[in-house]
Amino acid sequence: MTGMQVLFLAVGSIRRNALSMETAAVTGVAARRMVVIDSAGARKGPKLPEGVEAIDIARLDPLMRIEQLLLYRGPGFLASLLRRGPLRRPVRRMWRAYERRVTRWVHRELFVPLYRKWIFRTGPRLVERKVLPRVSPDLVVVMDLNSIPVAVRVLDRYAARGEPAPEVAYSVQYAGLDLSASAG
Amino acid sequence: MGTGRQPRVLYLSFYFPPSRASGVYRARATANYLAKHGWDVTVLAAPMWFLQEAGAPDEELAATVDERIRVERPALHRYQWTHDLRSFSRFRANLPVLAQRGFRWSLEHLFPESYGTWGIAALARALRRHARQRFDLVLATGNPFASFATAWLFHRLTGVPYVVDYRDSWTLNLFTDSPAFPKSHPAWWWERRIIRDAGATVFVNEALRGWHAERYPAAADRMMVVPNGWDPDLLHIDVSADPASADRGRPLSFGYLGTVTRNQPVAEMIEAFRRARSHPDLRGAELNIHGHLGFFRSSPHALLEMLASGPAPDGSDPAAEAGLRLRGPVSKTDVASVYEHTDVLVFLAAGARYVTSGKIFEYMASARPIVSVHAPGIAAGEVLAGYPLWFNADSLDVDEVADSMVSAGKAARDLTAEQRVQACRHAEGYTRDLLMAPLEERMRSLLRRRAVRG
Repeated sequence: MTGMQVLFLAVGSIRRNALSMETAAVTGVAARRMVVIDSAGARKGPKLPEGVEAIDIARLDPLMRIEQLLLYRGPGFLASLLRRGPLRRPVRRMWRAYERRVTRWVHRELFVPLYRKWIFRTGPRLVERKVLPRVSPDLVVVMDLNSIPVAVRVLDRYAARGEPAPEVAYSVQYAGLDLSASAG
Repeated sequence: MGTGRQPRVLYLSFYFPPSRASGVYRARATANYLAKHGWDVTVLAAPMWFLQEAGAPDEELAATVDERIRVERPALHRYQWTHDLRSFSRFRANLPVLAQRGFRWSLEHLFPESYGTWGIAALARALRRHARQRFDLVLATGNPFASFATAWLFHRLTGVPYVVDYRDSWTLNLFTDSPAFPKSHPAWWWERRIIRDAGATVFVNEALRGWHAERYPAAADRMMVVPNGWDPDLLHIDVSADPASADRGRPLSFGYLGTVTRNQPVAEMIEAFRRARSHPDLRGAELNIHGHLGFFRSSPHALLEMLASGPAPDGSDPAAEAGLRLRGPVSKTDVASVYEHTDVLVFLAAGARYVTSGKIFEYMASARPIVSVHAPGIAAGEVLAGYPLWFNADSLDVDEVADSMVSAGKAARDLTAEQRVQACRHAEGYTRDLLMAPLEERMRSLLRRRAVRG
């Protein structure tokens, strides 16, 4: 294993199987494997292999924070106050019903469409501001179309500093790595 | 057309020297023939960056283009061919999904081919040139078929007649003998209009002409066949070189020239050759494959893996034991030498009814025995019929193919000067110049008809 850092950009969250296989393929090659995903509105897929760091840009997104505040933290704080009194049982039942009927519906019908509309997405900027300072990848693997703006930001950042940019590939298979050492 | 001046033809040929595409020889020969016969030829071809990305341009071939021919290269949008993020436009880099959707929309609603933008640029260039000095005729060759659409649009805008040359098939899948697209596909919409309005539609064999004539009966009388042929100026084969009959002791050399593809009956060829080698006349014979294994990396085909893999770690070499030798691609300048050092040529072809294969004309020009390995009823039979050294099992039955390989081997051993002369004579009937004459005559008749109409 080398000290290589590989950053997988999978913002579109549409190729979960491929992401799982690609991250596994560099197990023996990369010292650090990071995946940038966007869990907002993402479909379920296979879990990432052990040792892969997942960075969810949805959690860095102000819109996601607003949703959390409006749907969970605010009402949750109120419910926790009420639960202390004699209304403990009905409040618990109401909270469960609220989670089941209200939060899921509002998330699905209101916030997910907002997340999906590009005009509301700030992914590339968030990655640039909050992710890139923490990593210095040697290889960036672009897993889907939605990740292209993020990859361009990565390259722009290196170009602005006058530093050599990391390699960019659309698959680890095309990155010129010797994958024979990978457990795969 | 004004009196006394040369007729001006606009030739839309995306692949033109120095391209290394296989269809480039027909385009080169057509343009040269027209220039030689008094036409003022302007060619609109692929941009140079495209040729460079496809491999090093063939400058030697470019030098064989008549110097009177004007070649221009309209732009082609790089969307499909740009993979480096640093080269993406700001629009594509920031809104890749929208860019992708736009590209797909253009394929579904404008023109169903990645070369559509070249067609638009070619049309704009043609109109500018036409405004300065009128074209009398447009000749378009496909693929890509954006050139056909350009010819049609140019005709609609200016009234200049056009001829389309189906160097390749568009809506017919040659390997399955069935339509290449579903009924609602926009390719049909385009083809219907292009053939309906064309002054002539040219095909490489009678089977293809018949298929299209059946679909577009109103245009059937304007359809014609111009086979591919071979280029005597590019292929100088010494037909008398080192015949196997001169040295009866040496093992025979069988050869295949061309790309090996998934659709060809490779397994049958290898097994037939293995069986044929057990015959005393073919003892020690080799089958040399000169060309790319086009799909080697992704193919699960064990025999192709055997061809490409070389010796196994235990020292065994199944390909060599079967007499197979993968010689790799051959440059155009070395092709003649390969023919000269091959005793029997193997005509391995995919598909059947509609396939001629450009290679067969060169094979015939070499005056060597040719053994067929393809499905029965292949269109190339039209061309090979009458060639005195053709050995055709007319079947893919391995034993029958092996028998015809043995017969071809024997013929190579017993080859006489008289047989060679006969073979050469047959091949001479398929030189490009000879085959181009009816097309040029048809083009001239379109000009005359236009002049009469005023």
